Amino acid sequence: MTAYIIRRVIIGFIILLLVTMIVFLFVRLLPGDPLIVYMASYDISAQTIDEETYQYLLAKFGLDRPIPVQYINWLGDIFRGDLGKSIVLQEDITTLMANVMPRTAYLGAISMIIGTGLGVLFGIIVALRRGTRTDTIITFMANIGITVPQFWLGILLMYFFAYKLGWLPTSGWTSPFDDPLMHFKQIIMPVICLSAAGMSGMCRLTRSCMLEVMRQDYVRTAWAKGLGEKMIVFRHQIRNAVIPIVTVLGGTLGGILGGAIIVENVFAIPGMGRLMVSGVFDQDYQIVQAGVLLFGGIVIFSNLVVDITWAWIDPRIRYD
Amino acid sequence: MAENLNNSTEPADVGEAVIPPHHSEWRRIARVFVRRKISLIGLIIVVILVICAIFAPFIATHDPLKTDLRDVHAPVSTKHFLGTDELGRDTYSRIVYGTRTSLTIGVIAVTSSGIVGMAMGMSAAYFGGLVFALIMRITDALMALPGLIIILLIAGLVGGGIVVVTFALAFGAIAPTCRMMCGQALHIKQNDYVLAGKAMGMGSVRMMVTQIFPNAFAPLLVGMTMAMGMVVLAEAGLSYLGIGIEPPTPSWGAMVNEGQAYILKNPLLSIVPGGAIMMMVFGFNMAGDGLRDAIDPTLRGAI
Repeated sequence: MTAYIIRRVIIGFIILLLVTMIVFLFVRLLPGDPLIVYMASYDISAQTIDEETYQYLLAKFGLDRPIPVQYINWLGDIFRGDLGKSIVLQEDITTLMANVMPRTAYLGAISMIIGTGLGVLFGIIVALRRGTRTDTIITFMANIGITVPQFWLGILLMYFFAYKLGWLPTSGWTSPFDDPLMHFKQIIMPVICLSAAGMSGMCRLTRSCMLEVMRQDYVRTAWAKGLGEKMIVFRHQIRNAVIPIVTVLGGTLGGILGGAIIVENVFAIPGMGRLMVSGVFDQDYQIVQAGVLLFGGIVIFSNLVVDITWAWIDPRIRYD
Repeated sequence: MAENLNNSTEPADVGEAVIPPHHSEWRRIARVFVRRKISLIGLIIVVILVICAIFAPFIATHDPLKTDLRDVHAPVSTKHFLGTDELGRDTYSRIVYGTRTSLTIGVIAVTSSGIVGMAMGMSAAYFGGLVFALIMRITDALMALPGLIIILLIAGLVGGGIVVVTFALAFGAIAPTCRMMCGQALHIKQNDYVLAGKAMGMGSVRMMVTQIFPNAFAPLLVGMTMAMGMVVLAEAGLSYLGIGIEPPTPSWGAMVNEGQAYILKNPLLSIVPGGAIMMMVFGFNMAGDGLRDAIDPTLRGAI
């Protein structure tokens, strides 16, 4: 077990390093110069870029050094918890993100729990009632759920529940400590949008895993030896069907984080997604870069936790 | 069957009459596929949308770019099937032309990411060892970055526009294709015909092109069909955020965004294009599902 954990942590670390490399190279190799944007934001009338100022700024932000040196410096800063300073906003990115990240993490966690929980539950129900009308309806809904664009779902919900019925506020964010009721009302629609795709994907996957397990010899044996249905479903089928489901949890989390970018913009929630999209519009590459790293880090870390937990529960995995 | 065996021992005697009819694997796949109603519906949706894209000028009733400030926010009528937008452009025609935008980007992004991802996955599986470790770790790293985020990074750094968006979407789709192809190729590599090829002195490239690729083609096709849905959805998301396709090119995602401001006055403006996105993604997903189950039900979960 210890050997497995060590190996898994090392692999996770290598992947994280590769992520930083990919992100860094992207930013350097793709066209687009943040310094020019920065300079233009201070002097809009300037038609040409003042070469002297440009060189001065290059040196100031350390952009004149060789790329490997820049990368090492940047990496060192990141591991010290310093994500750099936004050139455009002139603010410390770590502070900036510490303010908005909790909101995204909070919404993401709720959506993850609801999406996975309900998705697996529905998947089990439809697998047990395969071929019935319940199965047809829920499976169809799940097929719609993985298809529907999140922003469109958000606008539809907003149109009906906020504008037409007036039950919920259209958008915005209130801290749960200031006004818990308002907070609850405001997060209902974003959470539905964020969890819909994950829930549907989970439902489809659980259904097919359950159907796969039902065909196994040990299930037939269990029936043959006269075990009760409840015993077979809970002890034999669900326990085995859940293994492949757990392996996709990291991907589901990634999907939810990606979805947060869109949903936060639909419902005007000041989280990571909003920050990153405004970073894109300002060509503030450092914000986008830091956001990508943060999201990547979260996904890698949660994959690691899932893998280790699962190896602990299911010893077969350790020997892969 | 017994007759065939006899014939195969006497090759000289094989006449036209005794050769059994050639049962195409594709024909079997088509039969299973058609039997599943939902896959068939998906395929029909895709075919209709492709026709819409190709014959857009004949199907649309107006020029999708032509503004008419005397006729803004027109209601649904026989002249404007779905009304007009805030600039007096015909919503129906813009949706028809939007099919072109979505499908063009989707096909180019999926094909190019398919080629690159396939080459990477196949080399990883075929060469093994260090090449495998390197390629798969890069794939892992790319998979750790949620799809939309990596696209956001590229599109954000370089700016929007069709070319950048297509490149970004293609890049985002490489990792899943690579991983799937690698899994398939590892499986195929164990077959005796690969060993036979090696014994004959086949080179690596020839082996991959003539032996491994044709045998991995069917699952790859399924993967690419599914990827179409993902890419179309991601493109719509980017365009909705305002990072993707630049106006005035009709793009469904951007149309939803533009219509959002007039949701109370003219709800069709953003609801209909969103529905179109959903139809297209649904079509590709269901067709892909059906294709996968028809080709090999055991692939469920692997793709």
